[in-house]
Amino acid sequence: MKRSDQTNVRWAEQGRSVDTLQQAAAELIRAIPEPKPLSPNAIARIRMQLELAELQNAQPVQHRVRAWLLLGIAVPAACAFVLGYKLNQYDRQTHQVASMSRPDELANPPAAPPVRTLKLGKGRIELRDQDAAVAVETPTARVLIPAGGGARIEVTDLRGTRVVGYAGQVEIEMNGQHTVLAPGERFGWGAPATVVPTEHETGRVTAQHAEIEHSTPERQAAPMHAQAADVPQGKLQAGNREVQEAKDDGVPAGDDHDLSGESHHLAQAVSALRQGRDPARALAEIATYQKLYPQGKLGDEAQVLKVEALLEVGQNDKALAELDHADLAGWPRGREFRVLRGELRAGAGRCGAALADFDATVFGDTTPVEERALFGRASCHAQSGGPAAAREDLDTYLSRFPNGKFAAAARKALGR
Amino acid sequence: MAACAPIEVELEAGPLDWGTLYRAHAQTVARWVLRLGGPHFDVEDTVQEVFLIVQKRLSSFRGDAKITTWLYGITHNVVRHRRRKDKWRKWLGGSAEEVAGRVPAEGPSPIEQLEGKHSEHVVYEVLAKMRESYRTVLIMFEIEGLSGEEVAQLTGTKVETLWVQLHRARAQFLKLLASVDPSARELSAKSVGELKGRPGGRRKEKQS
Repeated sequence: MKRSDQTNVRWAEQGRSVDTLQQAAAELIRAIPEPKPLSPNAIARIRMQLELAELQNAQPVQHRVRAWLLLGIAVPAACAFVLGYKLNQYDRQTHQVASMSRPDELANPPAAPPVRTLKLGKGRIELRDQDAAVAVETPTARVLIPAGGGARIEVTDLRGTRVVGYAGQVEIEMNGQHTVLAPGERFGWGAPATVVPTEHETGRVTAQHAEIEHSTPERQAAPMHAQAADVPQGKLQAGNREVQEAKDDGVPAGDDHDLSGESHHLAQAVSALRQGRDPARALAEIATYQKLYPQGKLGDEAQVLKVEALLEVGQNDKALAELDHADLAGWPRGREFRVLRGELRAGAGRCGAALADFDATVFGDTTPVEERALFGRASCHAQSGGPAAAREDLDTYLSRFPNGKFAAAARKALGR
Repeated sequence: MAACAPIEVELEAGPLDWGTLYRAHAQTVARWVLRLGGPHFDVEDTVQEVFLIVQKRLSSFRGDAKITTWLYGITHNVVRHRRRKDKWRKWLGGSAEEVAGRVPAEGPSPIEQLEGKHSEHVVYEVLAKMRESYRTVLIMFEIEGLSGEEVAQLTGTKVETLWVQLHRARAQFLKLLASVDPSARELSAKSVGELKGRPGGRRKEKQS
C-alpha cells in the first residue's frame, strides 16, 4: 500500500498544513499536557497493596482448590435453602393481606393500620401515595420516598408486584433487622440513624445501604423525576401502569392523568439521554414536553435534563443560559447544579457571579459537591485578584480533601 | 506536544520478580495508563491492577517478547477492559451519584481551562469514538511521541502494518474531530492567521 511521505512525521512536527482540520488536530495534540508521574506516596500505596495480595495468594494451591470445592457445594445448597424459605414466607404474607389491594383504598387509607411484618430478601418495597411512587429496594438498593411517606406498600420480587399493606405502621424486617416504618418517626437501621421525613420537612435521609430522597409537599412530583432520571425504565412503566389500573377501576385519577403524560414524555428524554446516549433526541423530547406542558409539574425536572443534554452536546453556553434564569432552590440536586452554574460562569469569565454561587454552596462538609465548590471559589478568587482569599480556600481545600481531585493543582498553586 | 517517553528501563541481571519490575516500570505503566485511558482515568487503581496481573502471571512469562511489550500488552488490556466497563456503566445510566459525578466531568473546570486541558478533553472525546487499534496507534505515535518502530514493538505489529494503521487512524480521527468539535476548523483558521502575522513563530516555539 502506498502511503504519504508525511506519514512517519508527527502532525505536531509537520509545520503549517494546508489542511485546516489537520492543523487544528495538531494544535489540540500539542496543547495536551505531559502526564504527571505517580507520587512517591502512590507508588508506596500500590506496593503495599501488591504485597498484601501476594501474602493472600501465598496459600498452598491444594488448600485453595479444596476451599473452592467446598464453596462450590456449600453456596448453592445454602441458596436453595434460603430461597425455599423466603418463598414460603411470601406465600403466607401475601395470602394474609390480599384483601388490601383495592386501588380505591389508596385514596382513603385506613385510619389505624395494623402493624404488619414483611420479611424481604432480594426484592423491592414500593410506598405509594396519591401523587408519587417510592421504591425501596432490598437489601442494598436505593430508596426514594415522598413527603409524608404514608401510603400503600407494594412488594416486588421475581414473582411480580403485589400490594401487601399500608404504610402508617408497618414493621419491616430487612437483613435480619426489624423496624417500624411510620411518617415522621426516627428509627435505627444499622449504624446510621434513619429518618422518615414529616410532611413539612425537606432534605435527604440515608439508611444503611440506601438513600432516601423526598420532595416538599409543594413539589410532590419530584420523586417522579427521580424515577425518571435514576430508576430503570421498568419502574417508570410500573408507575404509569399504576395510574392506568386506577382508571380501569373507575377511580378518578385526577392529576395522575397529567402526571402520567408528563412522565411519559420525560421518560423518553431520559431514555434518549441515558440509554441511547443521544442528547440531541433528548433535547427534542424535552422541547416537545415543554411545548405540551408549559406549566407542567415536572418543569424543573425537564430543565435538569435539558441542562444535562446541552452539556452532553457541548453547548455549555446554552446550558449556562438555562441555569442563569433558573431558580435552582427548587431543583432536584439543586446544590450540585448551583456549583455547576458557578463553574460555567467562571469558565465564561464571570467570576463575580460565579463567586455568589460558590459562596452559597460551600457548607463545610466533605461531599464531592463541596469539593468542587471550594476549589471553584479558590480559582475564582485567584482570577479576580483575591490571592489571600484564594490561598485561604486552597488551604481549607487541602485540609479537607488531602487526596481530592484537585489536590495536586491546589498544592502546585500554593507552591508546596 | 509530548516529548518521547523513555519506555525502556534496563533491568538488573537475575531472575525476574514483580518487585523489581514494579520498581523499574511503575512510572512507565502509569504513563501508558494515562495516555491510553485519558485525563479522567483512575491511574493508581489501574496500575495496581496491572501489577496484580504481573504478580500472577510472571511465572508463565517465557521471555519470548521483551518485558516492556509484555507489560504494555497487560496494560492495554486492563485499560481497554476498564473503558468498556465505564461505557456499559454510562450506557446503563449509572447510579445517581455516578450520574451526578458525570455532569461536571463533561466540562473542564476553570483551572483545567487555564491549564489548557480543554484540548485534552476534545482529543479524548474523539479518541473514544475510534476503533481500538487505530486509537492505540494514534495515541502512542501522535500524543506519546514514540517512534513508529517503538510503537510497532510495543503493540507487537510489523512496522509496515503500523504505518497503514496510522494512516487510517489519522483519517478517522480527523473525520470524527470535525463532527465532535465544530470549532476545530475555526481554531485552526485562527491559529494559522496568528502564525501568518508572526513569521517563524512556530519554529521559535519549537526551538525553545
